[in-house]
Amino acid sequence: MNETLKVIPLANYFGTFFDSPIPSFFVILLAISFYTVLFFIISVALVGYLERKIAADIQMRVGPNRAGPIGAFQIFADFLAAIFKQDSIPTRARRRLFISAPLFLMSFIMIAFGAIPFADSWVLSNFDWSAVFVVVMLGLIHLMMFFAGYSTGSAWSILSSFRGLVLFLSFLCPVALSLLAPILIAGDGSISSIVAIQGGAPWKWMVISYPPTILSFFSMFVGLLIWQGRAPFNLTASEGSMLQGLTSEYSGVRASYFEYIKSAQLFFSSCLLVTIFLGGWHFPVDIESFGRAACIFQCLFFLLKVFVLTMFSIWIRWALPSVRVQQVLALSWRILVPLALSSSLLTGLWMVMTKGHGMGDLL
Amino acid sequence: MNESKGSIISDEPLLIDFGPHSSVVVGPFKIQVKLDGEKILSVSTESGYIHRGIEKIAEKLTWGGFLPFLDRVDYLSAIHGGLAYAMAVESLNGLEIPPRASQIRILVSELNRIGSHLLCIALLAEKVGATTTSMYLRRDREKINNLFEMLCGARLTYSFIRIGGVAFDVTDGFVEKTNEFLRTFSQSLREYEDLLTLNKVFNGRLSQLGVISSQMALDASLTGPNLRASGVSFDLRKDAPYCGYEKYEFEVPRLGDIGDCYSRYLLRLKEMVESTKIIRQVLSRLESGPFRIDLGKDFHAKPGQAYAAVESSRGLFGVYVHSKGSIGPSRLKLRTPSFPVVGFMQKLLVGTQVSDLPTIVASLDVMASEVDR
Repeated sequence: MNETLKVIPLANYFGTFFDSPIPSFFVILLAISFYTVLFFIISVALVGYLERKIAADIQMRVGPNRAGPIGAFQIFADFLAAIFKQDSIPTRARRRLFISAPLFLMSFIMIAFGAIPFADSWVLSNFDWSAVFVVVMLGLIHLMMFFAGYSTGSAWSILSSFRGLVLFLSFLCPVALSLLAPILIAGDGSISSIVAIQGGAPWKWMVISYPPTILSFFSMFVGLLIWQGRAPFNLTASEGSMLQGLTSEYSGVRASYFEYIKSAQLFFSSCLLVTIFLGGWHFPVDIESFGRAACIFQCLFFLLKVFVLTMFSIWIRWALPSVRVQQVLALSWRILVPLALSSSLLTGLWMVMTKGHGMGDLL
Repeated sequence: MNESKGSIISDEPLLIDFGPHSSVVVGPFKIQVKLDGEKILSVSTESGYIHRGIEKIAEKLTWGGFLPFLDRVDYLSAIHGGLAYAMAVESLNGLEIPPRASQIRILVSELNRIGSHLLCIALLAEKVGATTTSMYLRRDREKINNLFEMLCGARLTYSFIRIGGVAFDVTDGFVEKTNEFLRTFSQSLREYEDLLTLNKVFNGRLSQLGVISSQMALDASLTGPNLRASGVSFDLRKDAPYCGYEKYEFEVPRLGDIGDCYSRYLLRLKEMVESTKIIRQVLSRLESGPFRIDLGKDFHAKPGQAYAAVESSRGLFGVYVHSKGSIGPSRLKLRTPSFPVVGFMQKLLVGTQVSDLPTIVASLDVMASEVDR
């Protein structure tokens, strides 16, 4: 095995399909395009479509039903339409930042996806402390959102950008502290090792196997909702008061980038939660005999869990009114942060009392 | 050029325009706010974007020919404008309206009131981010629009009230459809209780916000739901009944004198319940007879002056007409309920957070076309 491929398990996985040794950059390229197409483009587009269909269902509308069977290609049709729209840049905008901000956002979120394992060896980057890396990427994406709004030079966007900075204070601490308990259990900050200590059956999932982590799960779930800037935390882009918030000035294809980023954020949040708390890619029954094809089943089961969680987020968004800035701060610092901290404390106690065993082992 | 590039590091307060085309107010209307962070330092409102000179146009038109213009004054409760005008002209000539016509007038007034309140609450829900609930409210308003379409062919500007009666008679089919609507609507009202009234987020966003004390409301000469939510029980339907409102049992909802956005919302919800009560009573005792007095083609009002006021969805809607005995009014003046609210709004908004501005304005139910007319 090539040494450089060790940190890229997916490239390693593809390498096993070839008999003769092939250039490593080729399999790395193959791995990256596989990741981009399957998990970034197709899955995120599916999330966008789901969102529109579920929202329509909740609001007793029909939703997209023209492009493709039951409107399934609507997202791609919209993207195609957006490409041909006029692309205007405001004269007051900081031009270079304005143009590059959505591209930076797209690439940041793609990079963040690299740390998520979708199956046993289907992970783009497997390195130590990748959980911390993910938190850094979350912060970076949020900060880039601020610059995206700031670069437009519009008073509306600047106002909502600064609201976004307030949200920065609210989501990062709960999310980062929620990772303490899983890291404590895994004894390692790598996402792969957090997945490795879990199992496919529900009683081997983190939240059930180590009950104190359920507080962390809740804290992280709400923290990630704040990060996504979705209702009830859509302070930066509440349609009623802030127009489209920091993306009001973006038009044409750039506006559709932001739509896509919103869906990607939702998909990424669900992936992260499933990976860390809900068993990750583990399949409920033993499928070792399938060999390399086992990865496909693991990935499908993982995506099933992700989409269930995604649907739950979508329900929340369309059912609740949005809250105020002060209410978000209060929720974050009075409820979520104490929850995450007490979760890690209780997990520590659990680890001492059970000598590191989960419920799955004890049963 | 360079220093104008969105410089945010500055001691200057941030100037932000809500409108003329924004979703904050129905119709074109500008609210300019000066901000220190999120706090509103000063507010200036600017109307006139939809001024059509309706009061002046009246001088050039016949008595009947002016009626469609009144629908455009407050197009969300178009019935009430026409009703006040028709009542003023009728009092000039001392016309007696047939009982069936009066009943139909009450019926459409209350239906229109429900429709208008529904849209007001829908916009309010939208402003606090409850888009789904907003859709539900619009769905019910759609049913009322369908009823009006069945009655007179129009969904928004009805021109239904005529001098001496109404334009069309109420059919059995309409009565049946209205009863059906009332049945589904009482279910919907329970839905709104769950989705909005008892919703903690909605309550938290609206309560203790935009508080108007009863004295402030009286000083600003507010009327309608905005006044009643502040604890002053003033309703023309009770205090100066017209069209025979005194014959029907209903209450003017009282909620104490808190006068915040939440009580304004709750009052509108309760008023819709009272309106359904009135509609039920009207439908159960519809009298037979003519629905309009035939006034002939060249109607001349007697010389003199008259004033009539009705309780529209937004408050007291008054029409003053002056006649020289010709085919049309020689002078006309409208007293619209949103006009005093606009002046008062500036005082109310200073010191609040900008994120609450749309909520407060939406709870006041301001209609730009009625302010400008």
